[in-house]
Amino acid sequence: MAPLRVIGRRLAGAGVLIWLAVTFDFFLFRLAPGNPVDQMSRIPQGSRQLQDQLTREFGLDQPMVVQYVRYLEQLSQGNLGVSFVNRQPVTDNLIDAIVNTLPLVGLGLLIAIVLGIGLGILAGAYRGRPIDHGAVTLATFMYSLPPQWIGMVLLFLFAGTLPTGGMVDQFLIDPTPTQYLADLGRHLLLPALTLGLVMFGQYTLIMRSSMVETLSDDYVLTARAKGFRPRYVLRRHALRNALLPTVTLIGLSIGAMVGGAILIEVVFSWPGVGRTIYDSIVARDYPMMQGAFLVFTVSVVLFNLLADAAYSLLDPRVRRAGAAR
Amino acid sequence: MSTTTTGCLDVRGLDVTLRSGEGRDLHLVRDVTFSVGSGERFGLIGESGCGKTTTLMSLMGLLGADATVGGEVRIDGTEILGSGERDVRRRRWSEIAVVFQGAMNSLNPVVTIGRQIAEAARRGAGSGSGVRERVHRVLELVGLRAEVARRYPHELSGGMRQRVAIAMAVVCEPRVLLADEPTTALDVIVQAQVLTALENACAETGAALVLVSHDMGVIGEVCDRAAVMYGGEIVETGRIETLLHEPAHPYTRLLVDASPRLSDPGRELASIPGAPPRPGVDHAGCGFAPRCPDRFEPCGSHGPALLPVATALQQARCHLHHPPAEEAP
Repeated sequence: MAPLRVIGRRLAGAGVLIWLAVTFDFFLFRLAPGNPVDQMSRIPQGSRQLQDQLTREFGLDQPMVVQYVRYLEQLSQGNLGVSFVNRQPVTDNLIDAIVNTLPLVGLGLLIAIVLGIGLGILAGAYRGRPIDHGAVTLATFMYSLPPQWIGMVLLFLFAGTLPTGGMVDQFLIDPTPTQYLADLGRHLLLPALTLGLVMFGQYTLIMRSSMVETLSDDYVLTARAKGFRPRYVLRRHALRNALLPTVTLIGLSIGAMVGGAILIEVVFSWPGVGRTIYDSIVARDYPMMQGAFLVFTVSVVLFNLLADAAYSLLDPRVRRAGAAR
Repeated sequence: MSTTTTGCLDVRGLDVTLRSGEGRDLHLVRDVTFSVGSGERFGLIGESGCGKTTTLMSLMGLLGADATVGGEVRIDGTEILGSGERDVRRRRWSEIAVVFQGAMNSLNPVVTIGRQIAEAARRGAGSGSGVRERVHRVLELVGLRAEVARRYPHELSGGMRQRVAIAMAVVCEPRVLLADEPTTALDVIVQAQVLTALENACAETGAALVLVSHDMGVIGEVCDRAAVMYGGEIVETGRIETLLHEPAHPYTRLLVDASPRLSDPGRELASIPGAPPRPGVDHAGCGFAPRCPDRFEPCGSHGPALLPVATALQQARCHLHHPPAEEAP
């Protein structure tokens, strides 16, 4: 089975990629200035003994290579270690963070895709008209704004109407599932909207340009010559071909979003992966940093693979070429 | 079969003007008149930029909003120009279909051949019933196996794709079939297959064929009659044998001399000095005069008219045959 072999090879490549990233992260974190013991013992009573004890406990007294081999051994058993800060298994901390991040990324992505692709299609179909100029200007403008700035502007506008931070209302006691979901939704709205506004611009620009390119392709002219309505030609012939580059871009950006909504999660105190990365870096919590960046790496690689798979479903040329090689 | 009788496709005084960005109008096609009978095969020959493709696109109503099309175009006596976008769309493919230049790219890369032809088939009368059979029949007509229907365009060779484009064009049995350089970029063997496919398709459906090419050989092989275009105008029209053996216009003669001939392989090929006029640029006198070896007094100042030469079947736009006697000093 040729396709299976292709998939196998892609997975092996992904494995190597993840190992490289893990190794790079491991040494990078330890070479960066500051160390976890200083961070933790910077309390008034922090004695020399306490520092030495923590260093031994964290295994930081060993040579870096020994630490690395130990880390890989642990990792191969699926053990991500224990957080220096809260002494909980990193895996547990991360699962909580991922569960919290998914709805944020999911809704944010939905907003970005609907807004981005919709606007891109309109701009491409009405190329050169006011709607095109409007869409391109808006997309470029939003894309060039820093995420945390958009977040703060939204906070400024909606503070009071919508909750400004956190995931759930701490004072909601024993909520019914419906109450809980409604509360979560209210908290989710602003950060997800921020994420959507940050992301949609690039989708619009890519979608527009591939739409313009596709609409000038000969098979679109053929479809028009066949006497189909412009809308049918757009939907049946231009759209699927124009979507291809956007699918790749979306795949790339979902991966980055899972770990990369750092600024947004910090602004809105959202306890997700981005926030975990931020907190663990501040505390130099090596195991948490390694774990969080691993999630980041894996999600980028994974969604890349998924985008490739989606691409080959949409484009028969890729499908056959992949199978033949 | 002169241009005065009503054919299946009747084009009279076709004029295409393109509004350019700077407010200057480009007159791309001027006063083009020809008529093609049912089952007849008519050629349009000329160099790049002479208005052949623009003529075809205006017949399909596919020129953009920047283009103004004047004149009359009738299919079976019914005027189709200016009948409204909706009506033009209805006629496309069911009455007038086209095989595009470089049809290798005129197929959607992500849709199977069969579905693309079936989609076209639904444009015609009797839609719905037996679409599958019709798809297989037209594929067979152009010499392709029915199994090609399940393939994607990238899995076929250039010649096969071109034949698919022809099959797709005749699936609704249109009254008029336009073909724009259908054999460009194909090697000679494949070219012959494609032309045979085109001839078979027309013979089977009785469509009037308008074949556009820069290649005198291709036109000579397929067509009964032809028109030579230069600078947006028809400069000579007549039966193909007449054009090849007794060309009346110097440009036609030079075109014939510039094409290789199997009967005379040792002959040196002529080339036409100079470049064709920039599309849409107005000129006093005959458009070909600057490159014409036979030009004389009136050519630079008076534009010649398209008038019969010898018989009514052959017409040429040249002072050599109709000197503007009354205006000469």
